[in-house]
Amino acid sequence: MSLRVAEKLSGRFRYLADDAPKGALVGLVLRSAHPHARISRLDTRAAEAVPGVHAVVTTADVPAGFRFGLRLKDQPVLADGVVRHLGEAVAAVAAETMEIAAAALAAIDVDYEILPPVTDPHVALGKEAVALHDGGNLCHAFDYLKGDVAVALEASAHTVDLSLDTPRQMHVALELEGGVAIPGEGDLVLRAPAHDPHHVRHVLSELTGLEEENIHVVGSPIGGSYGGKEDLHVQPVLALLGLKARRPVRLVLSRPEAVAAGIKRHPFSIRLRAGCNADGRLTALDFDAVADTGAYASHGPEVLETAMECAPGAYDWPSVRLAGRLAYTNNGISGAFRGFGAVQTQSALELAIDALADKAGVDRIAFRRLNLAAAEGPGPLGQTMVPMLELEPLGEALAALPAVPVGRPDERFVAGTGVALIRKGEGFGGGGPNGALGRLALGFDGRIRLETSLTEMGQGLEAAALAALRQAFGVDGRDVGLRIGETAVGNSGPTSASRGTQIAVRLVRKGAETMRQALGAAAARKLGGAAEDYISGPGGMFRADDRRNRPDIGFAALAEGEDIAVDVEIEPIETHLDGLACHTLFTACAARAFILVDRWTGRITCTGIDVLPACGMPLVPAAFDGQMAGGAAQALGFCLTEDLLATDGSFAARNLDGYFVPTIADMPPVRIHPLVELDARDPVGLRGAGEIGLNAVAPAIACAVRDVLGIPPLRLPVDPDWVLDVLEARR
Amino acid sequence: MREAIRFLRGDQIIELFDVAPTETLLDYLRLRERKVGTKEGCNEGDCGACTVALGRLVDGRLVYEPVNACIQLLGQVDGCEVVTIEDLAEGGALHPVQEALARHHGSQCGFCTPGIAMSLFTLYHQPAAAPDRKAVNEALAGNLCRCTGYRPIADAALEVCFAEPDDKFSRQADTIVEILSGLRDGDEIFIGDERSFFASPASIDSLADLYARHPDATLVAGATDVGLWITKQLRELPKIIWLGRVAFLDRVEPIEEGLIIGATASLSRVEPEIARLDPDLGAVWSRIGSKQVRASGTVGGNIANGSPIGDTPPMLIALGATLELRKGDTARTLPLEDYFIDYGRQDRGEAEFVTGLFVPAPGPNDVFRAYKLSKRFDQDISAVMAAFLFTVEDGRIIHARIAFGGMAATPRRARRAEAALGGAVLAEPGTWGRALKAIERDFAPISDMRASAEYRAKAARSLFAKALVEAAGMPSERTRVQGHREAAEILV
Ligand SMILES: Cc1cc2nc3c(=O)[nH]c(=O)nc-3n(C[C@H](O)[C@H](O)[C@H](O)COP(=O)(O)OP(=O)(O)OC[C@H]3O[C@@H](n4cnc5c(N)ncnc54)[C@H](O)[C@@H]3O)c2cc1C
Ligand code: FES
Ligand code: FES
Repeated sequence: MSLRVAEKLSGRFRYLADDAPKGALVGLVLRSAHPHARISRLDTRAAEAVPGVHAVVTTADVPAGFRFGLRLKDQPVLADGVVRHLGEAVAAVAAETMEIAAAALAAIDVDYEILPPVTDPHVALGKEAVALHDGGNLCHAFDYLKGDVAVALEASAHTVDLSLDTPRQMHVALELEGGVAIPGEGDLVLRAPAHDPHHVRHVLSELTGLEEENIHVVGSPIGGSYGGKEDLHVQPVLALLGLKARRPVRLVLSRPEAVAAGIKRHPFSIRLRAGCNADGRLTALDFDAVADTGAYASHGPEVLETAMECAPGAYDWPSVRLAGRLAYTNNGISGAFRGFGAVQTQSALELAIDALADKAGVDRIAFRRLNLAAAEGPGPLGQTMVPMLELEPLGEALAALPAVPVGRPDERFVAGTGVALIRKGEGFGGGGPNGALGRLALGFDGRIRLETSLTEMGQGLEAAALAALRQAFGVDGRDVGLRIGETAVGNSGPTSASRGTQIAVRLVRKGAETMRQALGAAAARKLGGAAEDYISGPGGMFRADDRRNRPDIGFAALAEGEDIAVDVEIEPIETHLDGLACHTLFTACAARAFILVDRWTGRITCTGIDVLPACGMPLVPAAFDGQMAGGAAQALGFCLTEDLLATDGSFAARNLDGYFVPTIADMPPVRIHPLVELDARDPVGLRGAGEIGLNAVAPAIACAVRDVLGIPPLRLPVDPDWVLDVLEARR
Repeated sequence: MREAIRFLRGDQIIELFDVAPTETLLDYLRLRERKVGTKEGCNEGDCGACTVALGRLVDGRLVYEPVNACIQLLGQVDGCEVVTIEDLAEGGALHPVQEALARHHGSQCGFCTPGIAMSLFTLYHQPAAAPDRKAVNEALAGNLCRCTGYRPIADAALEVCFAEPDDKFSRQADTIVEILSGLRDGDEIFIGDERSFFASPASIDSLADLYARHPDATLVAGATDVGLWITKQLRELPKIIWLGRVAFLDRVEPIEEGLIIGATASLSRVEPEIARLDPDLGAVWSRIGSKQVRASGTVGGNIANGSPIGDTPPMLIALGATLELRKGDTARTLPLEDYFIDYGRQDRGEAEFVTGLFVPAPGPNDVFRAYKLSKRFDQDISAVMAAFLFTVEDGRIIHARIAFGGMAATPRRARRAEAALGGAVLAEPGTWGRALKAIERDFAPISDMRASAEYRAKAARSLFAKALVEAAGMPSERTRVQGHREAAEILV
C-alpha cells in the first residue's frame, strides 16, 4: 500500500485547504443573489470599519478591465459593474474570525438594479436578445460540412429525426473549492486545488503585478474535480485578499456557494436528422447543437468543439453537416466536465443509430459494425489521425458479451438493454496545450523521482507514474518518488482531457533511457568502470555482468555530491484543419447497459453495466477499473437522476439535498472488459482512462431506455413522469 | 447540576465547560481539536464526509452508530465515546476496514474516505451476520462517493464487516462500558446563563419546568432538523434544551395492543420493533434519511417538526396512532392526524412538548401497506409517501384509513377515497374504480424539484391501485417490496 493511500485512509492526509498557517484570516465572499443585475452602488466603508477586518476587496482592487479564462478571457475576478450569474462574486473580506467576516459581509452595501435574465440559449442567440458581453451572446460557433446532406437524406431509404436535451450536471466533488494564500515580502504562495498550476500562476501574475517567479502555486492534491476545478475558483480572490491584508488567508466555499457559483456541465439542446440505405449503410447526418455556457466561456469553446467532433461518432458518413452554437446566458457557468461535451452529442447520436438500425431491420450491434469508420482515418472531420484498429474488435467484443440475466421482467417491470460504441479525442484539439515538460531526477533521499506539474485528483496519476518509474528502472517502491502539481517544477500543461496519466507515464518512459545512462555514469564515477557496466535495480546500481543480491552502490550514496537529472519534453501532436480544432489521437470504448422500468411509478433502475475500454494495458488495474466504475456512476446520474434545473437563472437546488448524486444502492454491478492491445503502430501506446468509460456508458443507458419505451427520450435525465405518459400512451 | 459536558475520546474523558449552544461536533473536531481528518462536504447531513462514530450504551451493551458531525450539536455527545478516523489505527497498523478499503482500491481522491471508513467501522461492530450487500448498501446510504462508483467500497465491506469484530474497541469493550456507565450520572446539565444556554434536563418534570420558564427555547432531540436551521439557515438559537438525556423519554415498549414509542427514541432504535408490527413499516423506516440520520433523528422530532413530507406521520396516521403531549403538569393525548393543522402550524401550545406516541398493531383482518416514492432510492426526502390500512371482512373492505405525505400542506388522510372504498370487493377490481377516482379529488398537490403536481397525482393513484392489487393477493410477491428500487434488490 502506498503511503498516500495509507494517509488517506487514516485521516492524516492533508488537502490544500485543511491547514493554514497560525493566525490565518478567514476569507468570505459576498455573492449576488440575482442572476443578472447592474451594481449601481457598492460601499464597503462600514465593512472595513468592523474591528478584526483586515481586507475588503472589490473590483476597485483589480486592474481595470482585467479578465481571465482558460482560453477566452471574459471573466472578471469580482463583478465589474454587472453581475451575470447567480452567486457571482461581488466583494470579499478577510477577517480574524468567521463571525467577524460574516458581520463584515453583512455590512457591505450593494444596490442592484435588477435586469431581466437571459435564460434560454436559443433566445439568447436571437436578434432581440440583450447582449451579455460586448461581442454579443454567441460565445463560439462550430460548422463543418461534407457533401450535400439534404440531397443524401432525401435519397435515403430510412431517416430518423431526433431531439435531445441534456442536463446541467453538477460535478459534486466532495472537496469544496478552497485554498490558502500566504503572502511574503514581495512574493506569494497560493495553495488551492488546480489542474494546471502554471496557468494559475500566470493569471495571478497578471492580476497582482507580481512576477511569475515570485508566485508559487501548489495545486495538488485535489479532493475530486472531474473538471470542476479546472477553472480558477478561489485563487484570484484569495490572492487579492492575502496581498491586501498582508496576512495568510484561508477561504473555503460552502456547498451552497459551490452549487450557485461553481462550474457545471453544459446543457446541450440537440436536433439531428440521420439516414441510411435499405441495406443499413449510413448516408447522411445533419446535426445541430446549441449549448449553454452560462455567464462566461470557461472551457465552453473547447467543449463545443469536442462535442461536435464526436457528433458523427465512430461511424463513416458519406455526408455530414455539423452546426454547433455556444450561447452566453445568465444560467450559472458551464465548463469542463468529464466527458467534455462529447457525452451529450454521443448520447443523441447513439440513440439515432439504434433508431436507424431498427428501421433498417438490422441487429443494432451488427449495424454499428457495418458502419464503422475506417481504421486508418480520416478522422471525423476529415483530419489525418493516428490509426485506430480498436473499433472493429470492440464491436466484435460487444457482440460476444455473454447475455446476462436482467432480473425477471413481469407485469410490473419491463426490461431493456442498450449498447454504445464511441470514440473520443484525447488531449486538446488543434492548438491546445498538448506538450509537456518534466524532469527525472535522483533525490538525496535515494529516490528516482518524476517532477511534473500535473496534479493528482484521485484519478491515480501518482500510482501510475510510480508504477512506470518502477518498471523503467527495475526498482522497488521505496526507490521511486514524485514531485508533482506545483509551479516549482516544469510546466507539463493542464491535467485534463484524459491526458494527465498518459503524459506522466510518457514523461517517465521518454526520459528513462537517458536517465539510466546518467545513473550508470554516476556509478562509474564513483566505483570506476564505464557507464554501461551498471544497471539500476532494487535499492541502487548493480554491475551488469555480476548481479548480486545487494547493489554495489545504494541510490542515496549515488546521489551524494551529484546532480543526476534529465529534462524531458513531450512535443505536441497537432492537427489544424482550415481553422477547425480537431484531434489526431482517439480513444475508443463500448458499453452495454441493462435497465428495468417500473410500470407503477415510471422509475428506472439500472441493473447492470458492461464497459469495454480500449486504452491499452492498464498500469495499475485496480485504478483503471476505478476510473471505469466511477465514470459509469456519473453516466448513470447524467441519464437518470442528475439535473440542476434553472428557472430565471436561479437553481432549483441550493445544496445536495435537492440534487441527486447516485448513492450506493443506485449502482448496479459494473463489469469491466478492457481491450488491452493497442495497434503496434500506435505511437502512444496507452490512453487516458479518465473520461472514456463515462462517454460510452451514458449513451448505452439512454439506448436502453429507448429499447424499453420504443421512442428515444427527449431529455436526460429521463423523467419518470414522461415514462408513465409513454407507457400509458402505448397501452 | 453539571456545568460541563463529558465524553470519552480515546482513553481520555474530556470535560468541556465552554460549549456554545449551537456549536457543532464537526467544528469542535476541526477547529478545537484540530483533527481535520473528519471532512466537511456539505454541512447539512447529505454527503457523509463528516461521519464519526458515537459509542453509546444501549441496554448495557456498547453500540457504535454513525452520525453526521456537521449537524450534531457538541452538547449531544455528552456521555458518549466519540470515535473519529484518526482513532481507528492501532499503533502503526490500520484498522481492518481501512486495510480492506486499501486492498480494494476503495479510495481515489480520498475525500469521502474518512466518512466511509467510519460508516464501515460501525457496520464492522454490528452483530456479525452473513455478508449481505443490502446491509452494506444500508450502511453506506448516507455516504456519497463521487469517484469510485462504490464498487470497491462495497467489496471491501463485504470482505471485512461480517466477521466477529476484533480490534482495540472490541477488546476494550468492557472498559469502555464501564467508563460510559460512569459518565451516566442523571445530573441536569446547564451551560450558559439565562439568556443563552445549552441545557440537558434529566427528567420529564425538570424538562417541563425549564421549558415553562423558557418557552422561547428550542427543543432539540436528534438535531437532524434543528442542525440544518443552524448550518443552513444560519439561525441564531441562543437557548437550546436538549432532550436526549431525559429519563424514560426514549422508551420503546412493545405491548399486546401495539407499540409505545417515547419522543426521543431514535429512528434506528425503533426500527426493529416497528418492523415487527408490519414489514412494510420496517422497509420504509430503513429508507428514512441514512443510517447517520436515523441514529440521531427521533420519531418525536419527525412528528413535532410538522413537515408535510416527514415519512413516519402518514404510516402512523394510517395505523391510528395517538400522540401524547405534556405542558407543565398536564398531559393530553390526541389522534396524530389532529396534530397537523396546516403548513407550519401544529396543535402544540406554548411550552408544550411531545412525550411519546402509541401505535396500535394492525389487527388480524387488517392489511397494511406503505410506500415511499423518492427521486433517489436512499437518502432522499419523499416525493410521495403513502400508507394504507384496509380492514377486510369476507373479501370486502369494510374500513379504510389512507394517509399521504407530500400531497398537501400537512400529512393528511384521503377521506374521499376512504369513504368511496367502503364495501369494495378485493377480488373484483371493477369495484375499486370509484375510490381510485375519488383520490384524485382528495388532494391538490404542488410541483417542486422532486416531482410535478401531475406526477404526484398520478403516483398517488398508482400507489393506491398497487396497495389494492397487493391486498387482493393478485400478482407476484414482488409487488410487495417497497418504493421504486425493488428491482435493484433482485440483483443484490
Ligand atoms: C440528510 C437528511 C435526510 C433526511 N431524510 C429524511 C427522510 O427521508 N424522511 C424524513 O421523514 N425525514 C428526513 N429527514 C428529517 C429529519 O431527520 C427527521 O424529521 C427526524 O425525525 C427529526 O428528528 P430529530 O430528533 O432529529 O429532530 P430535531 O431536529 O431535534 O427537532 C425537530 C423539530 O421538532 C422539535 N421537537 C423535537 N422533539 C420534540 C418534542 N419532544 N416535543 C416538541 N418538539 C420537539 C424541535 O424543536 C424541532 O422543531 C432528514 C434529515 C436530514 C438531515
Ligand atoms: S458534511 Fe456532508 S454530511 Fe456532514
Ligand atoms: S474517493 Fe473521491 S469521493 Fe470517494
